[in-house]
Amino acid sequence: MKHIRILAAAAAAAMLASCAPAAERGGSDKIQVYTSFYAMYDLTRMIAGDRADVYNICPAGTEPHDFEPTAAEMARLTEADVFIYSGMSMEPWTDSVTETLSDSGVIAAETSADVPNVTENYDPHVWLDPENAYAQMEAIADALTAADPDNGGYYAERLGECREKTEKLDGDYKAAAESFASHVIITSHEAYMNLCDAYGLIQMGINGVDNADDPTPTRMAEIEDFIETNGVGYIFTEPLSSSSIVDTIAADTGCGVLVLDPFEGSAEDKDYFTVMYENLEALKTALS
Amino acid sequence: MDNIFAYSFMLKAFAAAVLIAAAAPCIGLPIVLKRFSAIGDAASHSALGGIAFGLLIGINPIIGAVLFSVAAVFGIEGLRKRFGSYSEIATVIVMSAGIGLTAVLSGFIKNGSANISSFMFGSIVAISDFELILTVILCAVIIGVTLLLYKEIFAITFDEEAAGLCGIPVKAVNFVLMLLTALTVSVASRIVGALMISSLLVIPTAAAMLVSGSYRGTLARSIVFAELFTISGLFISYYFDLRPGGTIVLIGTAVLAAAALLKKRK
Repeated sequence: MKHIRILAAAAAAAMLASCAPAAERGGSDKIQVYTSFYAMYDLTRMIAGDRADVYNICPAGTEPHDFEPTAAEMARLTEADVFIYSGMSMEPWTDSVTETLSDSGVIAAETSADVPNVTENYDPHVWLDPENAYAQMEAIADALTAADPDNGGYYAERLGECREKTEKLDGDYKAAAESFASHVIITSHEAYMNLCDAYGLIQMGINGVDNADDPTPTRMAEIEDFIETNGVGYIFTEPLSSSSIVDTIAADTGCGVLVLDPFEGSAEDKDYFTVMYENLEALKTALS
Repeated sequence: MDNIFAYSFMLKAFAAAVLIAAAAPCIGLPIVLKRFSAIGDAASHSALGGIAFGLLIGINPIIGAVLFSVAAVFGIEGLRKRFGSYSEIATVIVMSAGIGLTAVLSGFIKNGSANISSFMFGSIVAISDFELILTVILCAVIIGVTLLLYKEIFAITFDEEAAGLCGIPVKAVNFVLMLLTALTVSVASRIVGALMISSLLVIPTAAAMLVSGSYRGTLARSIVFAELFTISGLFISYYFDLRPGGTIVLIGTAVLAAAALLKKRK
């Protein structure tokens, strides 16, 4: 009986502690920032630097479209100061949590809300257009500043550095795009509408935008016909994908396979700019 | 686009479909007659758990599927005896365990959803050479064993006691039958999908039972039906831009419904 009372007291204490304001928690006086998946995590840590603790909820490498947080993750999330997500149905699970979060006083920022270039089909992978990625970083800086006004100047400074980098990235893509001989990319996952719109490319997706189902035989035949008629040299797959579809098409048509990363997650902890430059190299190989 | 046989992925799809359609009823008929038609479902859901397990620890997912579905069918055999006349509960219990395992294990896999869903509904348009060879071997084993043990399987599906009295090793034959069921489900999950294979085990047999009288006749007709469903399913899915696995199953259920209606009129 005594043990039960002690346990109950400990549980009550733990609950009280979890309600305490951020500054008194966990030994860290930095703001606690949670992000919905790797791309948001990476953009957020670029802005946050060493002034905030940034955590990623959907583990790198897990498909963000289908992720569901566990109960423990939800509990931690309600204790955060800021929650950063991309939106546009990229992470459907956030729909049901943002209301809960605003009740517990968490600042939730949907970073795709004010991006300048939205594609016709509302492709949620908006960050693949550097202009959009910068707009997302702006939204992140705003949210961090709202939670932590003292460090507002620091966040603004880091945002400025990112502005230069995204502008250079955009310039490098534009320069390369002018020399592309072909403008069609065949991708396993239809995730590159933002990239295509920004640089005048056309994507032919094998799987749909949600990357879930295998193509029908009709679609497979169309793609193989297209590759053979137009002499396509390379098709694109994603890192971590073990789909046999791309291998089948490559074996049937004799074309090569290159990696184009939609930057949903990175197993090797690469940052946004590294991945975007790797993508640019792959595009140059395939299209020039 | 005009010539369906101009694509090597379609040729492989047809080869695998024809083989599986010949083999599936050989297992399907005995399990249906043994009032055991849900075992395919239980085994296939457990196979999905095994696929998730295989992807997780980095072995070929088909090996994971074989391990889990073999464990499932023997788990069912073990549990069945404890429930007496409610033995079908065992199937549901094992199926539930399989679904639970799949849900939990798939949460740990990197990029898991895309992979798991290709096993649920099959990737008949993306069969690798290795998978085709595996299918050939499996189907040869199934058809071979069924022919070899034709009389024994026939006897135990109707009356295990009488079969035992006649000197047939009932336990051993059941063991072989269960093992073949698990193997069929595991290998076919990659090709036609784990959620589809149990339909291929049961629907052609059910349709054949409506139109034939003898065991031999039912077996022969169920193979004819299975071939009809899969081949026409592939043609239709190709020309009408549909998903092949689901198309095959829907054609099967439609033919079954038609056969049932015709039978009633007589």
